[in-house]
Order: sequence, then structure tokens, then C-alpha cells
Amino acid sequence: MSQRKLTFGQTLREARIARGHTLRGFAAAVGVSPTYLSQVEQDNVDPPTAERVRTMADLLGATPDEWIALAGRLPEDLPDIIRKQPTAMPELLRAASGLTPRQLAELVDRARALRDERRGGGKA
Amino acid sequence: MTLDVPFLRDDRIEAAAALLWTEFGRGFGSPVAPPMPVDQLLELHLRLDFEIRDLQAELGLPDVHGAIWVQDRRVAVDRHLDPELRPAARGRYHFTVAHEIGHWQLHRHLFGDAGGRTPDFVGQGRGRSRVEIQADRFAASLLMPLPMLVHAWTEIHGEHPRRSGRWRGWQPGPAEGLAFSRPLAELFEVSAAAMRYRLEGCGLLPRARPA
Repeated sequence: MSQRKLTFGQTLREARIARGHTLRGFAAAVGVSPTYLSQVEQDNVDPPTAERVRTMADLLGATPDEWIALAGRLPEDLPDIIRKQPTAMPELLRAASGLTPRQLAELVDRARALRDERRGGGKA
Repeated sequence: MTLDVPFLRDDRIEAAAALLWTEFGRGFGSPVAPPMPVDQLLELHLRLDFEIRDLQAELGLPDVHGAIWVQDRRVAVDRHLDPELRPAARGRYHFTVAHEIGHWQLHRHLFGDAGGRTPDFVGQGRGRSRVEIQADRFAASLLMPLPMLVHAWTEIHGEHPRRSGRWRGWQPGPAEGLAFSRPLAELFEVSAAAMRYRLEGCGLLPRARPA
């Protein structure tokens, strides 16, 4: 069975309608003109900035990072994170590339635990 | 596209518009005060796709306001009417959305299964065929429902229009008719010209004497 792959604009329109937002109302909430939003939904222009996509995802109860990826953008905080550890971070990303979603979730949990340990001074 | 459509009495068009608001009210709550939520009606109740496009360039028509593709369930309004970019066009925007809803409600059965790039109806500022006049009348009824209009008229003028003697014998010129219509037009978010035409049609304003 083939699954229809939706563009960013199609996904946005479907989610907007499903959540009961009109084009005009949603454009006002996001802070853009209805004309621009309609152009985005028709895929006539590039998707908005990551910051704006995050606002859209928040309003639609969606996962911002997923939507930012669908828009072909990078989350705003990533460039800074990489710049702070320019060797280790790309290495980590390359090493994690190709892991299954379950393995990635485990890795994220482990990374969070390590970070919490460091912040808490190593107490259990 | 010009279609030869059967005659429809004004009261039938009025009733069709009122029924549509009743149906809308079951899912979204009945509108109790103007302006009427035609965007919600089109997108969320009728589930028609809605776009703002450069129709004038795409269709090569200088004064096109809106269009509908019946089989695609798609309505477009020209970008020159975007009410956020051009607040002065807000009334025309609402009327265009309501006009295309009029085609959907009154005329969609006239089309077969063939979709396509060419819209089935193109709403322009001039050239009024019967099919366009019917959609205009539907739009006026949808945006300015008579009971709400009478209520607003009464609020503004402090008396019921049918019981008032103040206006008897008054013959406004075109400018006076527009000035009289403007407060109501602002309330219903339509143009003063559309309001004047509606008030005249409902007997709430004497027809303007020719200039």
C-alpha cells in the first residue's frame, strides 16, 4: 500500500482545518498575511522560518521539531549548540545517524541522565 | 462562464441563505450579531478549499474578484482583496467569499465530473448575467440577514423601520443613500454600496433617485 507523501503546504492546510482555524484567523494568530499563508499552503513559496513554523506547530498542537524538519529548516537552537562544541557535536550526530527510533530514544534518555548528573553534581 | 439558469425568486434565495446559517449553527453555534462568519462557513462548515491567488494575472482578467472550481471543491479570492493587506477591500472580500458560496449552494449541480484548470464561475466587478445576479443576491442575504439587519437598523435609528414615519416621502440622492448605509455597512463589514443595495431591496431605504 503506498502512502501519500504530503508537502509542507498540504500538511499545514489539513492540520489547520482539522483544528478548526480559518485561513484568515490562523494567519492573524501566526502574524502573517492571509495571502502569504495561502501561498505557503499552495507550496508557491518556500516554507516560513523555523521560528514561524514553531509558532504554527504550537497553535496546531503538533511537534515543532517534526514540522521544522518538514519545512526543510533547522531548529533555531541547533547552530549555536554545534558552534559551542564544533568537533564533538557533529561527531555525535554522525555516530547516531542510522540508529533506529528506539535506539535514538535510548540515546536521548542516556544523554539527559548524564546532563542531569552533571547539573546535580553527580548525586543519584 | 455564462450559464442559462432557471429563474429563482428572491424569497427562495433568502430562505436558502437562512437555511445555510441554521445548518452552520448546528455545528458552530448560530451567529447572533454581525459580521457574519463567512470564512468559517466556507472552510469549516462547507469544507471547501480556500485560496488567495493572483487571479487577475492567472486568468488575464483585470477586475476579477473570485472564482470557484466546483469539482475540486475549491474557491479562490483575488489577492487584491486581502483584507489584512488592504483594509479598504474588506467589504468586497466578504462579498466575494459569500458570492462564491452562493454559486456553490445554488449552481454546483449544473456541473458534471470534469475538473480542470479553468474555474466554473469567475466573479467580476461588471457584466451581470442571471447566474451572477443570483449569487450576488445570495451573498447579500448571507452577509446581511434580514432579521439582524432590522435589529441593527432599529438600534442605530432608535425606532423600528416598519413603524417609523420619519422616512416617509424621503427620496435620497445616491450620496445620501450611501451616507445613510455607511454605519450599517461598517457593522456588517460590507461595502456601503452593497448595504445600500440591500436596504433598498428590503424596503429599508427608498431607492436612490437618479443623480
